[in-house]
Amino acid sequence: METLEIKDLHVSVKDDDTQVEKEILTGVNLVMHTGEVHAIMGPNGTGKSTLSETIMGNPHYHVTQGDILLNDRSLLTEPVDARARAGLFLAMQYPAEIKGITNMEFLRAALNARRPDDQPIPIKDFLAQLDQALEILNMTSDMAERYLNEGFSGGERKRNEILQLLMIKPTFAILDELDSGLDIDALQVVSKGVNHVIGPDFGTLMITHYKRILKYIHPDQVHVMMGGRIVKTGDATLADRLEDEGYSGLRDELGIDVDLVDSEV
Amino acid sequence: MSEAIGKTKLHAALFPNEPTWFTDMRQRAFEEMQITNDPRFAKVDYRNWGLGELSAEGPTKDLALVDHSTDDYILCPIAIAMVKYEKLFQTYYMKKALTELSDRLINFSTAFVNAGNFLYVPENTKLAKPICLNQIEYSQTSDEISHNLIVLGEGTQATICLDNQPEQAGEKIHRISEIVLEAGSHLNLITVDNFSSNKAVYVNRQAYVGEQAKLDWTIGSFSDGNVVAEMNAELVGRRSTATINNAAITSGTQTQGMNTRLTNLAPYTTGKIRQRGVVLDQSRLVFNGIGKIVHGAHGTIAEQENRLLMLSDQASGDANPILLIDENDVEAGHAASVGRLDKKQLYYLMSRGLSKEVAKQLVVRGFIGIFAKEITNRRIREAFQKTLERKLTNG
Ligand SMILES: Nc1ncnc2c1ncn2[C@@H]1O[C@H](COP(=O)(O)OP(=O)(O)O)[C@@H](O)[C@H]1O
Ligand SMILES: [Mg+2]
Repeated sequence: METLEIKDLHVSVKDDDTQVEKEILTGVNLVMHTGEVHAIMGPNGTGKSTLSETIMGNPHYHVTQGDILLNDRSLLTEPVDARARAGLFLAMQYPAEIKGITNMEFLRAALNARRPDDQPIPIKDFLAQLDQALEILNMTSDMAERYLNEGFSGGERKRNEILQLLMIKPTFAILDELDSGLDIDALQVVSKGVNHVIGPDFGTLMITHYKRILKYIHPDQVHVMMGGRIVKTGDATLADRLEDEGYSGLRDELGIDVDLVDSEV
Repeated sequence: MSEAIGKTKLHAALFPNEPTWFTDMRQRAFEEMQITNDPRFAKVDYRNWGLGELSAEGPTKDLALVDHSTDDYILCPIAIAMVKYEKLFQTYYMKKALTELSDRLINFSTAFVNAGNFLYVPENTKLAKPICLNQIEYSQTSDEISHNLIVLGEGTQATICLDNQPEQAGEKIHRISEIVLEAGSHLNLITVDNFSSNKAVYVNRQAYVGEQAKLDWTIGSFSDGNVVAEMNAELVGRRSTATINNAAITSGTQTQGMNTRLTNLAPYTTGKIRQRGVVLDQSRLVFNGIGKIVHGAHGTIAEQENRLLMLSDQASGDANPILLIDENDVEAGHAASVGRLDKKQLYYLMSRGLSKEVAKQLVVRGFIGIFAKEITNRRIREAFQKTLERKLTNG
């Protein structure tokens, strides 16, 4: 069993416009093991993506206090690529577009990054894995020949993130708002992909705004994040409660002093 | 230069059995050469590269005068063409694609021409296999001063590539190419320059695109020495189209300056210029993209995109789109950028485990490699990619 632990994590980010550093995460604590499915729910702007990106190692985000530990080893000084090879994966809310690099080239480079330089993955093995992954996601093989995320629809992008998940087979995956912008059919397909990798050797952290995706991917634990930290943890029923009462209900119950800017809460 | 010295030098470059009209043309160019100015390549100073001057003559090689013609086309050195296929050759040589001898370098190259190929594909020929011209075998002195003439007859389809051996002898290259597409023809043209660092290079390529003809032109500018290049397609016939894709890489201390032009001369023509450059070390790369639409060429499209990726703080680059439009009913647009590696892209690749080095390599190759990927013929595509790779890694 492997463990990913977030300890009293404080993170700040420099505002692109004002160049002022502001604190977004104000002390996040979270322990995950392989074999578990966690969900983090929270209103927009509370720092869910900040948490995801910081765990992954996006240099834009600065850890000012606390630690991120993989099997008791701190990842803070490790760059993003080392964290990825150590077993972390982030399905991003806004993946980059890269014209000129095909999906296929990229996936091969990603798999080869995990192998010794002189032992690249045999092309036959690679294609067999790719075919299987494409089939699970109802994707056609021409997707593999397209340039990385270039001109992809929102749904295609999400599928493509999960295609990478299936190929790379990380130990811990963070799925940042995988459900946003997906219709029901697409949601079912990407959920099928995620369920395919869920198992005793895989841990997943789903970041979501809505309960909808939790119907397809069942969480063991649900955490609610507000004001840059986790304010409540429970089982799947916590998500039902949020759906009924909204984030404001929980905020008032816990007496938390944050503004909820979302119109839908 | 005195008249007397000039004359002797001019005669030294004569071809065997050279027709009088050809000699006259050279003589005229030689005279014009004394009174015309060097061509302008904006933001490139090439005055001390020694272009437009003869080098001390190297060992004279025997001309390999072999006629490679087949049942489908004529292909031979111009030395043969001007004698054996004189009528045809004369009909096109500096008659359609290149008609104005307006600057000194073109006059010099015309006066002292010593090599080049003539390729003529007759009307309604559909060539399944590409034709590749590698022209040094026909050069007779150490410096190449060549003139290629490529003609596609009406309704003809062909894929043609033009390249060079990097180990070619000589210090200076003057290479003119005329490309004529008669009505309804379709040409995939791939030109790759891969000259070594000790050579100063001048290339001038002029395409004439006839009615409903289509030119798809991919250029690889991968030389290691200093280069000025003039590339021009003229959309002369109605509903003709031309796309020019130029991939350029500069490295070391070299400079490459390219004028890439498309002129819409007839109604309903479509011209697209796409240039991408990678600039390394202390090198300099300049893209001047020039789109021109003449009065009366209504319903035309002219687009261009010039992008430079700077990979070194000591490198310099310019991307200058110029649109000259003398007609209202047109669709014209341009985009230009001079940028560095995109941090978001690198982060995304690295988040999947790729090291920074590999991520950079992928982004750079992706950026510069897109035109190569569009080459349909596998063998030519792979050769193009190999040259590109050579330039990126050891350039
Ligand atoms: N790269 C960034 N640069 C500047 N501010 C950022 C950046 N990322 C997030 N923020 C700010 O941090 C706060 C939390 O954002 P985010 O983590 O995206 O929230 P969530 O994912 O929960 O909607 C917001 O106020 C947002 O404006
Ligand atoms: Mg977010």
